[in-house]
Amino acid sequence: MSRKKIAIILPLIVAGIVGRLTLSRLLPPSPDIYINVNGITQPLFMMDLFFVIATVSMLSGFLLDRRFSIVVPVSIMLLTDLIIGNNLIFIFTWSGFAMIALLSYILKSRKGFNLQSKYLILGTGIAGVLLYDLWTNFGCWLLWYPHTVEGLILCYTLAIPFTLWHLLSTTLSVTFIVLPIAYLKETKTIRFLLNPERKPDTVIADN
Amino acid sequence: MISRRVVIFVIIGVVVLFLSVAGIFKLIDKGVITFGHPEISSDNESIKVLLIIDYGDGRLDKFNVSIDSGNATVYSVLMKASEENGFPVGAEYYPQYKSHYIYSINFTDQNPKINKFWQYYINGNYGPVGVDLQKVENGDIIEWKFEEPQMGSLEGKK
Repeated sequence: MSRKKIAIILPLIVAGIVGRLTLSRLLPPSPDIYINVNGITQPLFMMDLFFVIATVSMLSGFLLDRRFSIVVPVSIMLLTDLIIGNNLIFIFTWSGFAMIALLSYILKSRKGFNLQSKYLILGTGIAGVLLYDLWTNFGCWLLWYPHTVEGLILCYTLAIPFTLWHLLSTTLSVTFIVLPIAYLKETKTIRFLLNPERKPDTVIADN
Repeated sequence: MISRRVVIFVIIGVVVLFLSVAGIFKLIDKGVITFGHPEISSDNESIKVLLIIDYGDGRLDKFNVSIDSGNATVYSVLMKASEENGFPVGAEYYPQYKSHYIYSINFTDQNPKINKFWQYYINGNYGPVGVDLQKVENGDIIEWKFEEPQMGSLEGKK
């Protein structure tokens, strides 16, 4: 494995692990807004740290090759689940994040990872959330709910506040983390940060 | 000169924004979206609820709990029974879920190693929402069972 690859993989894995293990106490309280769907009242947002791993998964898809783009989110989930604990749902959560990474890799392969593709990058984030939630909630239904249409509807109804929060938080993290990194990569500032002897394009242009 | 593409994007954006705002107002109007928990009222009528605690090893505790209907939730009923009968309850509040998570009742702690947790049922049906979000009515039967998860818990999958 090249040093360049390690220089991308390691920070992503560390950021994912540290984020998942330490940020839960920093989540803000859910606002006093409730939704009532099918007679079930729930907070509008159920806040979790999905966006941390989703952001890292997207970045691994955008910055790495296909194989390593999957390795990063799966490694983070494996290592943190060993500490936090998990159950059979891991089959769906791990593969769900791998899907987000693959989706990002496919976009990068076809359109590149740059600011010209900013709307597609944002769209990939939203599509990734919907794909992940549809997949993992299906897993919840398989594992814990009655295998009836009513059970399926109940499962997806209860998941609405999670999906709304995933859409909001992932949109924000794509806007404030993924897109700036796309800019840094486009202007080759990342290469400059990793190897200060090489100047970024913008610096060269100024000279 | 503004390109045609930008104009189309702006028009689509404004239409989507308008429809979204209109849709949200409609949902508020229909009571689908509410501000403040809609089921917590200021009524002070006293109601009676049967609380059953099933420790999963054949032991059962039963308590008749009287509580004001205004703040009668599965959580408040459990805490009232705990205060009146002197058994401890381990609970942690999760502000991001707007509810408590019950991890221990009367010295029986949840045990992830054997996959056993405290779960509640209301009138025989699995409690689908957090304990603070489940309103209780007069004559309801709340059962707390120490068992393997049946339908996911508050902590759920994430």
